Amino acid sequence: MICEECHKHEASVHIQEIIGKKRLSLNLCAACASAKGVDAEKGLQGINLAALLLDLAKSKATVKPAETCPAPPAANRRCTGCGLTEADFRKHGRFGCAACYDVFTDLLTSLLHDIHRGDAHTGKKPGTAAAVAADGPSAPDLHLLTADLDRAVAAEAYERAAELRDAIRRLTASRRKARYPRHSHAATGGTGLEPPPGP
Amino acid sequence: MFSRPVPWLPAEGDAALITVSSRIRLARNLVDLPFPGRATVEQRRRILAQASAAAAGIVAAASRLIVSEMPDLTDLERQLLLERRLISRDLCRMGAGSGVLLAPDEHISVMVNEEDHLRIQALLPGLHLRAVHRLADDVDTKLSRCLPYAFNERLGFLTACPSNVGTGMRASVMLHLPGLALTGQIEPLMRGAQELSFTVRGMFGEGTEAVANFFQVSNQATLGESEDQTLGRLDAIICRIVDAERVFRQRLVRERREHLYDQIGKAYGSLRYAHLLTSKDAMNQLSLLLLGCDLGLFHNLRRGPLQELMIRVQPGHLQKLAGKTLEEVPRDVFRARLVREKLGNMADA
Repeated sequence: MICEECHKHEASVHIQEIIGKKRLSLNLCAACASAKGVDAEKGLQGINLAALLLDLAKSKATVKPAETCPAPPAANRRCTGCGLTEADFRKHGRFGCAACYDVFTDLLTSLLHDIHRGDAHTGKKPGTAAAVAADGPSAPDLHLLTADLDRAVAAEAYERAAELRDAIRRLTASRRKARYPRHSHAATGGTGLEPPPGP
Repeated sequence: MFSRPVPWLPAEGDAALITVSSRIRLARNLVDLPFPGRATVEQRRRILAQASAAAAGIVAAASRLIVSEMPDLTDLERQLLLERRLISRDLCRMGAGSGVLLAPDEHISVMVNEEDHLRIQALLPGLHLRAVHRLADDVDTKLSRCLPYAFNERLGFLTACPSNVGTGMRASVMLHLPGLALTGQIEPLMRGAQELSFTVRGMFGEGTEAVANFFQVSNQATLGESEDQTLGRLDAIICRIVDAERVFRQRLVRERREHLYDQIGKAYGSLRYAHLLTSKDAMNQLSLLLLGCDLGLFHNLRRGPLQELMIRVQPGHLQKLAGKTLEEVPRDVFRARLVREKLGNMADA
């Protein structure tokens, strides 16, 4: 496989990143990987993941940004607030001040779409408390039941353990239903595990 | 402060066997000032002074806010704060103008001029995401009335890294998952969690290494959903992971009982009688003892002291106890002696 950056040398470093439901991949030769800060031994530690993702989003063109991008701006543009350049951001993956978000809007669009679950803030505002539901009364009950379950299993009292297991499932399901009355399936999304059949 | 038990570990007798602690971190920046990476030392010092003054005004009168600028802390103090999860590894390396504000009960800490101007953190034992969020949110709301935050109606709280923009909230739960780890289920868990915009990473190790089978599950996304939605989804996935951990522990006991008991027994023997003990070996073996406690294998070991011991064997806490800096081998000797004494006391009790 040829390096996707230089298109000349054999790719020996293969990077895959799952962002949300999208799998993004990048195949680089050793020299291009090193230039991007990927250490073949240490992997992605310390790498500028934000810049890599930005390159992935632009080169793969599999992600449709939520908004239409404007015409590419000048390559040497600089933030008027802190002097950060586009090259600085690509190198370190960090903005320098609040004004950078306005200056480099085009760089953000695909990046935000890939990392986050939407492109607009729906949470708290400064000066006001976040609207978060309080813990339900079932939380301490759940802990006690699960402790009893562990003791029953350790004592090989499997009938008692099965009763406790069923009680925990009913309690957990009722908590989920209370929080997600219309979206209980989404709330219980799989963990990717395949537990073995019960005793 | 460093001699007290760690407040975010579950208390003796607490039924939270798998979920160890819950944490909320809120990233905030002040308006009209460069983020820490582009700010001058003078600007960072000004931010630290403003944040300290604002925080002192909201900490209860009965307790005194502890304010520390990083250059004023010794290497040992930085290490102790890191081990108690009150500061990050990045802040440990920072200099003038960066610091930490601590409530004496350690449930709240505010890092100043780390990656962002403010990183407000709250920590509680067990799975209490909403309660720990209330702690952090209360501090955040009160600070925002004294310090003008950089905020955008569309993008939310503006942060140095776009991965934190929006709520700026990283909610995480620390879990003890020996059942999943010993049955090779951690990788599928990581992949499944990532599909739902959560990350799972090992704690206490370098990079992706997972030492002692402690893992942290945290949200990835901070934009496009509210704090309540994120906490609800995290709570749901934690419940599923805890269920799975219980199932796989039962599987281990059912299908690999002798091998499992042998591993736990050998860990106990090693900790009880070793004279050289590295931090990594101590943590891994104490993790097996914790599992043994949960399975009811030990009549004289209690989970609380074992969890506390896992903090005390860390390099910073160990050297604090010793009262001096120790090189690697003397540290391993001191660690082994500490563990022999503590386990011996529990065995004799």
